[in-house]
Amino acid sequence: MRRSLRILGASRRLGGRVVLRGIDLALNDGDFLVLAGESGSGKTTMLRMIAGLDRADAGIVEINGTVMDDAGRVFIPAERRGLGMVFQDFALWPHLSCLENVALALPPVTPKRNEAAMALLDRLGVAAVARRRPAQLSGGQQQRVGIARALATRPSLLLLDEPLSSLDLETRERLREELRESLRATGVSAVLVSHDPEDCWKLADQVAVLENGAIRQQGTPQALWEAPASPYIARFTGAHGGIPVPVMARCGQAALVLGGEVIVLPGAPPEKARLFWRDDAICPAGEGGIAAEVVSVNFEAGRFRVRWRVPGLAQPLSGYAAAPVPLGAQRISIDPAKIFLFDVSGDHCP
Amino acid sequence: MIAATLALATGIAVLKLQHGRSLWFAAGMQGLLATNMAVPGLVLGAGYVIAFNNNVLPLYGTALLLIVAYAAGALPVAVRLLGTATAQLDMKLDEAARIFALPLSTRLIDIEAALLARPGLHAWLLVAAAVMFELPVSELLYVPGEMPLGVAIVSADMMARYDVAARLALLGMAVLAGLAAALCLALRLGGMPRSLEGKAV
Repeated sequence: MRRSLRILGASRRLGGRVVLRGIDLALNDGDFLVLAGESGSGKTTMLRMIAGLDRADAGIVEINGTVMDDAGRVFIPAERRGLGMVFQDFALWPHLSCLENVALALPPVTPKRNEAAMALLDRLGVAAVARRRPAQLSGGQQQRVGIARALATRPSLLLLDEPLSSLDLETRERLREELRESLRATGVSAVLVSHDPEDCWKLADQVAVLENGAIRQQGTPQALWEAPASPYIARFTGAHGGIPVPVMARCGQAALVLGGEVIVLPGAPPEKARLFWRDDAICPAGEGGIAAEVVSVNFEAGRFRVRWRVPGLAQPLSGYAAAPVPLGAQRISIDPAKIFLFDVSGDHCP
Repeated sequence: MIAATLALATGIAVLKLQHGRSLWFAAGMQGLLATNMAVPGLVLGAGYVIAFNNNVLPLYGTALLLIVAYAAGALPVAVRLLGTATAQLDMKLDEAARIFALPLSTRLIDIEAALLARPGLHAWLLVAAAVMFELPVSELLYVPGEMPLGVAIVSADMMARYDVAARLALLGMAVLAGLAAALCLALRLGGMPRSLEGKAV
């Protein structure tokens, strides 16, 4: 399959600090990649490097099979890469109307520019405000115009720098769907920088997670959910916890001792570990299980969030129940397939 | 007007030169420009007479020297006024223009210049007003027989022709008001980007 984007061993230093190191990344044609990571992990630098607004110190950046940046030997500037980009703070030209913003981005040979620009605005649902200037629009409308402008260049690869982060929940949800539909309809590949897990679930074909300037894990959203490679990825994919737990070695495997019960997990035991778990990993058990005490129960979006204190653990475990659970002693069961242990350095243990 | 335009053009060049360089460079440049303001006009004028009254650069007595002196005097003000405006210009606007493959001329004229037009024209007007009534440098450097407005007003005053002096002062103010009105109108009629003209937008 043809690759829209390929990055091989790319590194970047800024102000004497290594911002990106040894980045290897590939994106197939038509795929949607979500680039996630904490603030300062290098996401925006990587996006700027792909865009040609920043240069790689080492490695290769290839777009649609053409080398764009070969660490000083080849460098094709942003204006010749044929990309589209949506900026976090929109970056619409404030002195031009929305129609002019889109029309200016159309390729010079485009016939009937106003019709073409208006068609794009119409597709994004902002044709009615085409004659207004960006400052006269809401954030959601501005971002729609930003997406229309990015699509105007007919890019094969679209870059999106946290385009939804400044929008309210409802607008974000609607724009997410519209963005996905627009890209599917045009067959455009996309790289979206985000630290919102919803973007991962609702937009991504692939997710790459940056930690300290390096790609910690890349795969489908499902692969990341099933086996997160770090505490950040576990949290990003919806796991709870991060509490320190006692771990023993048993026949070369990690044995987690909770409330007198032993849960054996595959993999070498770490000296000190932190425990993460999925929503449904912990539930009340009729008989047997681990002795615990229900310390709080509160209603949360159609179910009940329960917190159990387990002897030997510094912090309570939490999970969900369909019905309210009485406070006090209770036995719980833990599904070993839905918990993750990371040693304190952040490496996945099992 | 030529001097004001020259001051603004040089100011933009100075700001471009400062862009992306160290703070020390910018501070040095600002200091150099500030000395131009710190030196009294008469001393500065005398300096120009000494520097340009020779065989190497025989500019003394020409209109060119007067224009250069006016522009140099107005440069610190022009740089300050334009510097604030350019500092507020979001770099992402130019980056967006680059991503969308706009040619350099379009980026400079339709994006950068268009966004700087208002503060630029205000700066130009301020510099033009200062230059129009400037006296110390004009007294020393004006071309014989072609008195600048400031010199003409003082000269009429000294000959007790107060009516002429008043008329000249009012004429200067009227010219400035006319310029301001014309510039406001030009900004209001700014219109569409040059690169979209004639392309059926």
